[in-house]
Amino acid sequence: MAVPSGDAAHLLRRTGFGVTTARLAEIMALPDRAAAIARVTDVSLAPPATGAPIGPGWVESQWPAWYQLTWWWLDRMRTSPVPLVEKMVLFWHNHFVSGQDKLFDMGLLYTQNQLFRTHALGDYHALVQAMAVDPAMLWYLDNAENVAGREQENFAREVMELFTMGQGNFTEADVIAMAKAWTGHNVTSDGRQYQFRSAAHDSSTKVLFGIARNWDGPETLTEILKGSREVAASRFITAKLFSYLAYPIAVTDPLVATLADGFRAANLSILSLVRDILTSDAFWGPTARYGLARNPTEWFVAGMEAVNQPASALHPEWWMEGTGQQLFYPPNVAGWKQNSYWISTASSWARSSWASYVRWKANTAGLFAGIQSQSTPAIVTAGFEQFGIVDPSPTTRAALEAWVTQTKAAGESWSIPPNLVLLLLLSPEFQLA
Amino acid sequence: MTIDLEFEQLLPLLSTPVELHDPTGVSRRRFLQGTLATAGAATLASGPFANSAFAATPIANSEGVLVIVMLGGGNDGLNTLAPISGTDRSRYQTLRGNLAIPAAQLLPAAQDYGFHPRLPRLAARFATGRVAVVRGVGQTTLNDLSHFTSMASFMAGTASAARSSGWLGRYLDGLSEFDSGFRGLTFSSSVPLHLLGQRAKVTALPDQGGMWGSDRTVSWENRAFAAVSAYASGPTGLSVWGDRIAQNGQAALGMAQTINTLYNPEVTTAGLPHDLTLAARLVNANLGARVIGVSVSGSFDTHSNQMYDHGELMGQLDAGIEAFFTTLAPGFRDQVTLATFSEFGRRPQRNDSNGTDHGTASVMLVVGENVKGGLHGAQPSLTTFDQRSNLVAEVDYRQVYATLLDRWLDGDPDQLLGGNYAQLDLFTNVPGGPRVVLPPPPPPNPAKPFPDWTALVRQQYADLLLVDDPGASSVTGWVGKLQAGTTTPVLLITTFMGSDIAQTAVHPVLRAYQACFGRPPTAAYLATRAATLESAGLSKVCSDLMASTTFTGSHPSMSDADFVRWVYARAFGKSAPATAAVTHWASEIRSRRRTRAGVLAYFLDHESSISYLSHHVAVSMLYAQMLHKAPTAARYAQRIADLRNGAPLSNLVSEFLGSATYQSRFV
Repeated sequence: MAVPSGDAAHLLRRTGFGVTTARLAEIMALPDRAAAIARVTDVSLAPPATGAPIGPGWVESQWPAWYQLTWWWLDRMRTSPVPLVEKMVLFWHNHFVSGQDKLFDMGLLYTQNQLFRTHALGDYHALVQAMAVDPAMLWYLDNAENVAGREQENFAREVMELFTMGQGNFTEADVIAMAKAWTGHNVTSDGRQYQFRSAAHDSSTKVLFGIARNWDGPETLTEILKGSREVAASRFITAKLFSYLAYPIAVTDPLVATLADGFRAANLSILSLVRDILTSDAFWGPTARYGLARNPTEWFVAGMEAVNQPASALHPEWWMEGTGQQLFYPPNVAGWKQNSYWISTASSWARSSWASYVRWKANTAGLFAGIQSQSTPAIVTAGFEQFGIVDPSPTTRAALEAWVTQTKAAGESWSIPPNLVLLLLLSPEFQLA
Repeated sequence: MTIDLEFEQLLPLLSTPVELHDPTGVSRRRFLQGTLATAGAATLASGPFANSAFAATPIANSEGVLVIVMLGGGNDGLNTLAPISGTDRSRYQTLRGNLAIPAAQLLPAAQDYGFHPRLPRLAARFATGRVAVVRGVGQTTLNDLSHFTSMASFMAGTASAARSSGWLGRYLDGLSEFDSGFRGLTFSSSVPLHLLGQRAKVTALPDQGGMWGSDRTVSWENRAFAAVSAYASGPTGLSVWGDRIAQNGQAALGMAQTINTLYNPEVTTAGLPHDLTLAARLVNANLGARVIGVSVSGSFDTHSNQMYDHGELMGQLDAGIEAFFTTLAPGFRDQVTLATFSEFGRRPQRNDSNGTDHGTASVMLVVGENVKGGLHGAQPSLTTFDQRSNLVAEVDYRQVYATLLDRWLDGDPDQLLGGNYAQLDLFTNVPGGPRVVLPPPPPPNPAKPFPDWTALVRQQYADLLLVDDPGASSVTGWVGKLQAGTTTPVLLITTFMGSDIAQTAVHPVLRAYQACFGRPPTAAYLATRAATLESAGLSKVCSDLMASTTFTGSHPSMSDADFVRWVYARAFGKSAPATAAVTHWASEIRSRRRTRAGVLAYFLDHESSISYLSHHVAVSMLYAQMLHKAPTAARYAQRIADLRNGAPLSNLVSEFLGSATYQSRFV
């Protein structure tokens, strides 16, 4: 085998969710890292984005609509042969943020979710343009109501500050000009489709980034991504994506500049940027290795994969809010953050509550059935294998072996199969990406 | 939902990730504690995890507690406290147009200004001199209209540009037992920047109790707790995040028992009232808390639809502050101050989406027994604005912080804020000023909230069995058992819930309602359908439910076969019935041997349905018949899952019986 297990598991955790024995074996059997990267980024293997339980009756209440779409998405993450696509949908969901707390319309969020899937690893410029006129976004940041003479600054500010460039690359005057440029980019009368209303568009001359002209919304984005702000914009998204896949990095880091140069040279191909990140030495280095905490979604899906059961059986949606990451409900337009953001007593209680639910589901399905008759080290090793933990820390192993030994001594060996599931879900290894 | 603007998310934000600066945040001492925990694992219940080990030293009588309430998104100060009369009134009306609150609706405060109409209890508290409203608070040095930079400034509370720790976090760093987890606590899923210091450990509290680790009575479960704790018994060797995850898991387990006591009886409100009720209980429990963070649920970023949205938020704030001070034990009243903050106010001139864009100065509220009530600061001009047509701040937010730190928390404001800020005159007394003399506690009434056992028993007959006039001997029989202690109210209720009368007169209706609508009915609706059940049978109940517009609206036309499949799903929880069975029942309907309602009723009376829907029925009884309140879909599903998961019904009953909502039915 040419790809070491530690490398294969690292690549799977970062480009996907769980590390099942099957996924691990497939990657380890490949000749080298390059082949492994080619495999996990082979988007041609992605299943068609169909089967969402959407239809009449589905919207009778927002709750069933929410959990059914959440199940559908989680199960795509769990089962896709190219989980990278869903991982990127999650990234875009958390970057171009829209939330059900303001929209109360899962239909619009479903459309947006599919938009993110369509463009997940495609042309970044096309994605940004499509995002800007997506109905969920038009409502979420109020551009649906941005008309000439009555400008609304919400989208104008966030598209520059949070979506494309970051602070320091625009002025308050640019916010006002940007708001004017986006006037008239509204929605149809039923509120469900994008519609440009020329009568509501301000076609006067505006000064944006020091350039005076009759700016229109979409061309401002082209100006940012491919014009006077292209360097800042490419570094901005590169730093965020690198932070998501490798480890938190500053936008000023020289590595970001290099990767961003490549991104522009590749005409803003997201797939190309992802491959550049995955092939960088930094991705495989010590800072990246276990340098990210699994966010709740990654952790839930990895758990679903480890016990091989769907969302409808394991009900992660009941615990999402408690863990701090309820899909389709980002906390605000800046989205969720990383690492220490996920480590709190409250989230620990929510995770342990789900883990104690899952153990019985796994137990009923026969996971680890009869394992208590094996030797203590064999039990712990089998648990690590099932949960894709390829290099457990000695502390974790010792804790688990002590637990098995004491449980056997107390005559309560029956509790080993369910509690092995629980303890692995809660292990530090399994909570790291 | 929590609004958690913490430091990774702040602005310099994508340019300087915090992890690069603050790799651990956890002292080495935690490893030592972890070692102790492992050593004591075998005797977990009484060993180092016993309650007493997990609390800080109770606060002294002279120590103050600060509850800090975040209004995220930018609260409109001008509609929180608005001009009622005088010259500002006409300017306000011009600026705000249809967003101006009519003068007649405002609740008079002072100096021609009044409170938002959704703040009646705050206005009443203001009238008694316990509310300080600091007007014109904003940033006087740097004015930024970004949520994130502005919130970062308010949370960090420094004179410099540093945004890596918060003003209250640095205060907590200087307290004794700063790493106990009980000096600073927050009701949110992660710790927000203003509570984040360099070394203080801040506990994030969940929405609900019953957390894993709170029940230490089961030996095989105790060993699992010990194993999770042992994950932190040494460095993981994986990464600093691996260590922190392990230590956090250990800390959560260690605190679970103590924290869990706050959640009983269940707090049945939501949002800020829920969190502030728990915050008051946290103070009452005297676990050593000095700083407690909460936030209003929802966004104050009212770019559109402001009149309604802001009103709802004001209502939540009013209810929350009231819940806090009514829950707070009298003995702590003069030791606790509550203060609000928001990253900025709104623009004086309304926009044309019926909202307001980002502004500058706003109001801060400081509430408590020792607060010097009245209007403080100065009202910004409504005619002279800054270059972006915003209010000019009159008071720097750090002046308020300096006052709170110095006068209330006994901290060093110059050192903690990194600069000297003129203080305001916000307090009449230091913490622990004049004590309220407590009246002697009333004798305990075991039948609470009922006057006596007889009333309790009669209410259960009426609520659970729909029997308004039980025989006298039945009542006295139960009263005798309660008096003798051979039964308890919880036991009585669970017995009634499963009794023959309930099974024949109530359960079928609840199953039918669950099947048709997926939720419990109201108590009144249940009563009318139970009458139908008695007079005309379950088929009639089903046909009535299926004829309702709620039902027909969400289930337009179904073929007979689809209907049969629907019945299987709803009554038996069976998603793929055998084709032959579907064909059989569909032909029964087509040939008019049975009606659709008749088929549903037949299924609902079947043993499989009774078993499949038993948990739904139990939870429906609790909400519809005991609480007289509709659960949220999420909560309803969670309760059912709890029961299916093996939670004893008596636990649920006990929680409902003790809940504020239930008790308030009988006040």
